[in-house]
Formats: sequence, structure tokens, C-alpha cells
Amino acid sequence: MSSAKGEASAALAAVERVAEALDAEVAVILRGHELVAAVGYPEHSAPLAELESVAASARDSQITVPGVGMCPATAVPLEYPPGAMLLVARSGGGGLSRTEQSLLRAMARATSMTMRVQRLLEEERANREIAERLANEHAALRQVATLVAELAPGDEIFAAVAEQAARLHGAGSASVVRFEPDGSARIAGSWGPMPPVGARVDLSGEGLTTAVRRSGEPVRVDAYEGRAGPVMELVREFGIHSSVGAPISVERRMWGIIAIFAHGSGSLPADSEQTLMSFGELIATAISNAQARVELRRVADEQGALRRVATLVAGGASPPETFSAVAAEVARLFDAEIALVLRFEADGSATVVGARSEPGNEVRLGTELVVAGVGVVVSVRRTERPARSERFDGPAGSVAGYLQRLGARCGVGAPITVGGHLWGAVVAATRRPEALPADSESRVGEFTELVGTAIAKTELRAELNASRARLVVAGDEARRRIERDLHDGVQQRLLALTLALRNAADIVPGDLTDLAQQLSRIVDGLNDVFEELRELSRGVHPAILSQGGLVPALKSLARRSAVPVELELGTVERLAPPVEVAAYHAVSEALVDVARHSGASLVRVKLAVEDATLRLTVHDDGGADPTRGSGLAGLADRVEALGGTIAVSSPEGKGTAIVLELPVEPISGLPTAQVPQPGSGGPSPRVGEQGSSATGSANGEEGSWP
Amino acid sequence: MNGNLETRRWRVILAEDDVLLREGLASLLRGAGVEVVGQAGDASELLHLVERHEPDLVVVDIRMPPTHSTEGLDAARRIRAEHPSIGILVLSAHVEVEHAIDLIAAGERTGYLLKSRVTEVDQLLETLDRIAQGGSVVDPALVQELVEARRKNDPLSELSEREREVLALMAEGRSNAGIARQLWVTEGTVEKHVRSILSKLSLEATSDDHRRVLAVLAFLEAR
Repeated sequence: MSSAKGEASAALAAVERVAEALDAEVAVILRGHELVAAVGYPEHSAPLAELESVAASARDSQITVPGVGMCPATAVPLEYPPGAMLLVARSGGGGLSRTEQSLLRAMARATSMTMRVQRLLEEERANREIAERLANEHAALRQVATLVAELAPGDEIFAAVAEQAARLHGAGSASVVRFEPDGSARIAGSWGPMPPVGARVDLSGEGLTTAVRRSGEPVRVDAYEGRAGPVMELVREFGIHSSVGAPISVERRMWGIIAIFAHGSGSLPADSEQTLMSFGELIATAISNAQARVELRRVADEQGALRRVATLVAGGASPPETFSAVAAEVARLFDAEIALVLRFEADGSATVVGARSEPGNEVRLGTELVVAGVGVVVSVRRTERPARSERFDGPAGSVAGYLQRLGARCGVGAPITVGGHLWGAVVAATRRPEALPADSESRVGEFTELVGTAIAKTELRAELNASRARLVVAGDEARRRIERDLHDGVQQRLLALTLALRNAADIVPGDLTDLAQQLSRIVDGLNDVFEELRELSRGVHPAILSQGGLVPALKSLARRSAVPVELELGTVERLAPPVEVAAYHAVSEALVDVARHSGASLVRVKLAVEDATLRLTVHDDGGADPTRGSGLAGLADRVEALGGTIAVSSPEGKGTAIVLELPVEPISGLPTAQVPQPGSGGPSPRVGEQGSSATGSANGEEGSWP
Repeated sequence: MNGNLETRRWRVILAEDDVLLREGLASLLRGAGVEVVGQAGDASELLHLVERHEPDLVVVDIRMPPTHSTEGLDAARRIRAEHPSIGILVLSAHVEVEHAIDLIAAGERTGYLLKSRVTEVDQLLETLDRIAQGGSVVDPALVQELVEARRKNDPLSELSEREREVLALMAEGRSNAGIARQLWVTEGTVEKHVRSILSKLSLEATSDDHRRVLAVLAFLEAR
């Protein structure tokens, strides 16, 4: 064990002072086999063995003093350092006097104390240095940790960490090197004289990076002499003298290394490997935190997008609205240049029902594309499962061809299933070089589930509406039939019987006046029955409506109204029977209502057909009455079933207005009854295309609804 | 009760799809001295019979097979176009103003009557009589509906009670003499009423009874 510097110089000063005070030729401090300090011998020539034996004997004896010969010697122990002896030798005479011996012992004590103080001082200084260095290291690591917490991993954070590492270790430069998926290594960030960010780090030679990567441990290179390869060019170019590197492992995978370099004559502290290792761990934490954050944000984005679409669907959005929202959300979520919602047709093609595309490469709604070639949609259609493709190759007019022309490099897609059957697909594609994340296709699948739900809901609603409308129509038909049966059957028969009775009355002999009178009364009674029957028949179904349409029928209602009616009917073509019946009953009920409740002096009835919608307004100038419109309640179901609305408003002092709106072609699939409908030859738009967007050319008749 | 048989030597064709009713009507008319030369169950049969018998009068139900809508009215228009001298009485189960005006507008010797009137033999015969003599006849119930329809700022409110009665009879197609008989007044009095009515309603005076019916009906309908 070597004595500390201060202790050694204190020992030397002590032996010099002792030799001087006692006029001795030699003064030595010995400790075991170690010569702590000595005067009186040429350097490195003290007879250690002889001195040791004198010290060990602890008696006065003779030693050889250079240039003098044998001299008496005296040794006294030192209290410090433990086991040390102070030994003096003086020529002539018989050794030290008693006084001199006392002096020697006193000086030995003083020396002990001096050396001990020196030792303590030195220890204190060393401890302070260690504390300071630890504090620096801690501060540096804390600073890195802060960077890590605040910054996304990128050049900035890597450069900052490199700087901290270099400064802490007194290194001339530092760098963070990242191992790329292709097996190469590149500078991710650096400080000091180093190749620029992004520069490749050669791994072919025996450089630091290679060594760290191979061992997975910190590595120190103190001597580059004798090494070969391109590493040496760098070493020479930047004047690197020595280096230390430590691995950065992210989730058990070697992500890269962090290295510090000493340039010129500088050196790196002995324990650099350990602190650098801590830096590496911090960087690893930063990277995995950032990855977690990205993942978290991705999940949040996706949940947000799904929630928005789900809210739309739950709110009863039409399929075209849902399609367009899904296309937009999917494109946004994957940052894809194009997203399509496609409906598969029975003929093997696919119709674009929702799209998000770049300006200049728009795809129009309603476009029919072939499903052929190589691409996502082909796979989805074949497997009915989510699919991915990094190659698009298809003929003109095909989905794959379209994506190929756009330069798509990666695409994902998932099937839309409705009621257990493949209905269509959602596909997203990008032309960026990096592939879409591995689970993208299944994430698209979550959207297609919503699309499927929206379609199923709409189909269900359409079916429900159609079935309600069919009920209404069937009811109308039944009433019309009853009216006809009454007219052609009962009324005719009644008239015939009345006539027969009249004929019979004519041939009653003149003297049977009672009988003649009785027959006459029966005829009168039958006439009354006939009248009642006619009113009943009109209530069941107004014949004038099916024969003449709304205009004469409403005129007839107006003539019979108890409150004067002004009609504004314009020219109204014949409409579908359920529409005519609904409008007729609305006016009929409204007029009854007005007569009963309002005290109105005038009712205005306005009828117009615009934009394939019948609009009927019945507005009176009567007073408000909370029970107004109650007669129309029964009509509301019919109107709703036909896809229309009926509203009653009764603002204070403004009378009551009843507004009925009905689509002229109420519900697809309804029989168009006996009345020929001008321009209503084709089927109505199917559910999927109702209200297709302005850009969409989806015309209702193309394609089928599988 | 059956009036003068001599004036009813008409040759009539009946068109009505209900056999029992048709036979009853035929029997009733025969009883009144009318010669029923043919009975048809639908419009085409009627047209065929008209071609063959060239009757004086046709009594036709407006609603007949095959569609039971306005076959009778359509047949009446064709008969009117091809045989202007044949009088036509259209029977309807309901008051349908448009149909009535359509029919009367087709020309004189036309009548529109509610079907239930056939049991009132006198009224039926009187109607046929008026048609045969070149008049136009509109069912009183239809006229009543027109006259009674309520209107804001009704021009009819200008008329006296008597004038309204006269107006209704004009609309039924009666001549001044006919109106005088109905109201038990002199023809001169009726003429005075008619002038007053026409002036109050701003209608042009005409000596042609048929044109007068049409003008009054159109006015009432449009008012």
C-alpha cells in the first residue's frame, strides 16, 4: 500500500527535522518492509534489511552509515502509521543521551500526529472528489432523464445525451449509434468532432461498435495501434486516442450503442464504462417510452375514430354518410393517401360507395371497378378475411389497377359482412415506402364491423318502412275493394229491390190503398238506407279520389266544409294511391277539426308537388286549442310509413297550420296501383344510394343490394 | 201519375252492369210507356246497340266494367260525337261535379242524375222528357252542393232567397217556363229574377238555355 502524497512529504519533513535536531547522520521511518522516509542514504540505497532488523530488535545497536562506518542507532515506535518505527543513527560517542532520547520520542509523537492529520486531510479530499464526481454524474443523468421524459427520441435527444456523456467523462466527443433493420449502423446523434447524423458506421473492422454489439457489454479501447480496417481512418481523422462504448438495449433487443472518445492526449476515467451504461439505459427508456406513447396515441386515435363512426351509426346516419365518414377516418388513421369503401356486386365488380382520395386522383362515388389482378381487394373478396398487399397489379378499370396507377406501395383491407354475407370491403393504401403497421388490416376490420352494422340497420329500417307501407297500401286496397263491393253489389241490389218494389206498387189494385201506402213507406225507407250506404261508402273510400285524383276530391271536400275553404291546388298530376289517400284524409280530418274546434272563418289549403315531394298545407285563422290536431294522430302512422312527415303548429294568434310532406314515390317496392304514373317506370333508389353526395354519381338503379 | 203516354213514345237503350237493376229499370220504363229497344251490360255493348238501333235516348251508368270508373261518361261522349241527336242521361252513384260539367259541356240533350232517382218514377220520366225536348238536366242534389258550398266574400250573399231558388233551378237546367211552373209564378216574374241574378253575378245574359246552364254551373263551381 502506497502512502498518500501528503503523508509521505510529512514523513520526509519529519526525518529531516529529527536528523537535524539530533545531529544524526541517518534518520529513517520504516513500516514493515517499507521505507516510508529516509535521510542519510543515497536514493534507493538504504540497507532495508539491516534497518528492519534494528527496528525489530527495538534495542540500541549498530548500523552502517555511508561514509562513516558503524554507528550506534536508536529506534522508537510511531503511533501512526501503525507498526512504523522512527530510527536514527549518529556517529561517535555512545549513542543518544537520555535527553536526546526524550526528544526523539517527542518528535516521533509529533511526526505521528502530523502524518495522521495529513492522512485524514487526504482522505477527506478524496471523499470530496468522489462526492463531487458522483454529483456531476447524477446531475448529468438527471438531465438526460429529463430530456428523455420531455422529448421524443430523435436527433435532438441523442445529441443532447451524447453531449452530457462527453462532458461528464471529460471526453472530446460522443455519439449515439443506432442499428438499422438492414443490419447497418448509423450515427443517430453526436457531440464534438464526429461524422454527421445519419452517417454509416462501418462494422466490418474491429471497432468499438462491433465489440459492444458482439459482447452486449461496455467495452473500452485504449490502444488502437495494431487494429485494421476503415475504423482506423476515423481514428486518425478525428485524432481518437481511446474510447468507451456501452450498449442501448430496448426490450432485450440491441438498439444501438453510446460511445465517448478521448482525442489527442486526453484519457477517459477508469469507471466510465459503468456511467456510460447508465446513459445507455436512459436512452433505452426514452425509446421504449416513446414507443409506448406512439402506441398509446395510436390506440386513442383509433378509439376516437371508431367512436365517431359508431356515434354516426347509432344516430341513424344513412349508409352513404357512414361510408364517407369511414373512408375519411381510415385515411386519417393510417395517414393513407387513399381509402375506399366498396360494395361487391353480383357480377364480380365493386362499386365505390365511399372514398377519400387526394386532389387530382379523386375517385367518384358510384364508380364501378373490376376486382381482378393482384391487390388487397382481390384477396379480401377471395378469403373474406382482412388482407394486406405490397404489390398492386391489375387491368385498367380494376381496383388493383387504380391503386397501381396511384403508385400505392402498401395496402390493407377488410371485408364488410352484412347478415353473415360478404357485402363489400374497406381498403386503405399508401405510396410511402414504409409499410403500414403490422396489425393495420385487423384495425380496418373494426371499421368494417361498424359499416356492416350501419347497413344492416338501414336495411332493417327500410324493410320495416316497406312493410309498414305495404300494410298501408293493403289497407287502402281493402277499403277500395269494400267501396267497390258496396257500390257494385249492395247499393245496386238495394236500388234494384227498390225498383222492383216500386213496380209492384204500381200494379197494386186501386182499392188496396193501405197496401199501396205501406209499399210507398218501404220504398222511402229503402231510399234512406241507400243514402246512408252512400255516406258510409264515401267514408270507407272516396270514389272520386281514385277516379279523378286529388284536385276534384279536395274540391269536393272544400264544398262540403262547414268553414269556407280557399284552395290553391295548381296542377297536380295523379300520384301514387297511398299518397293521394294520405293527402285526402289529411285535408278531410283537418277540415273536421277546424269546424269542431277553431271558430275559424277561413281555411287555406295549399297543395304543391316539388322535388318529388308533395307539400300540403292546411292553415286556418282560428284560435289556438291544445287539442287541435288530435284527429290527425291516426294519420301520422300512415304518413310516417310512407316516409313523410306531418306537423301541426298553432302559434298564439296565428291560427293553426298543418303541414304534410310526403315523398311522391313513397317507398321502393310498392305496387304502383292502377293509375299510370308518368315517369315512374324504374325502381326506386335502393337503400345504399339514397341521398348520395354531390360528387357521387351513384344512380339508384345501378347495381343490386345483395 | 204516369202522365201523358203519347209524349213518351221514346226508343231507349239502357246500359247498366247490374242485371237486376237494369231489368227493374226497363220494366219501370216500359210500364210508363217507354220503348226499351236494348239493354247493355257495358260500354262497348252499349255503343254497339246504339249503332244498331239509333235510339232517341240512352240511360247509362257512369261506372261499368271493366274498370268501374268513368266508362259510362266516356261512352256518352262518343255517342254525343257520333250521334248528336241522341239524348243521354248519365246515372251516378255519387255527386261528382267535374263529371257533370264535363257531360253538360259535351252539348245539349244531356243529363246527370243520381242513381237513386230512378226509384222516383215521375222525376225520372220528367228528366227524360226534358232531355228529349232538347234540354239539359243536372241533379238537384249536385246543384245544392254547389250552391251551399261556403265561401268567404260569397257573391251569392248578394242574392235574395228567391233569387237563390231561381239560380238553383237555372243550374238544374230548367227553362224560364219550367222555373215558373216550379215556383208557381209567372214567366215574367222569373225573367225579372233571372236578369237581376245575372247582373248581380256579372254573368252575361243568353237566350240559349244550354249555354245558361253551363255558365251558371261554371260560376258556381269556380266561385
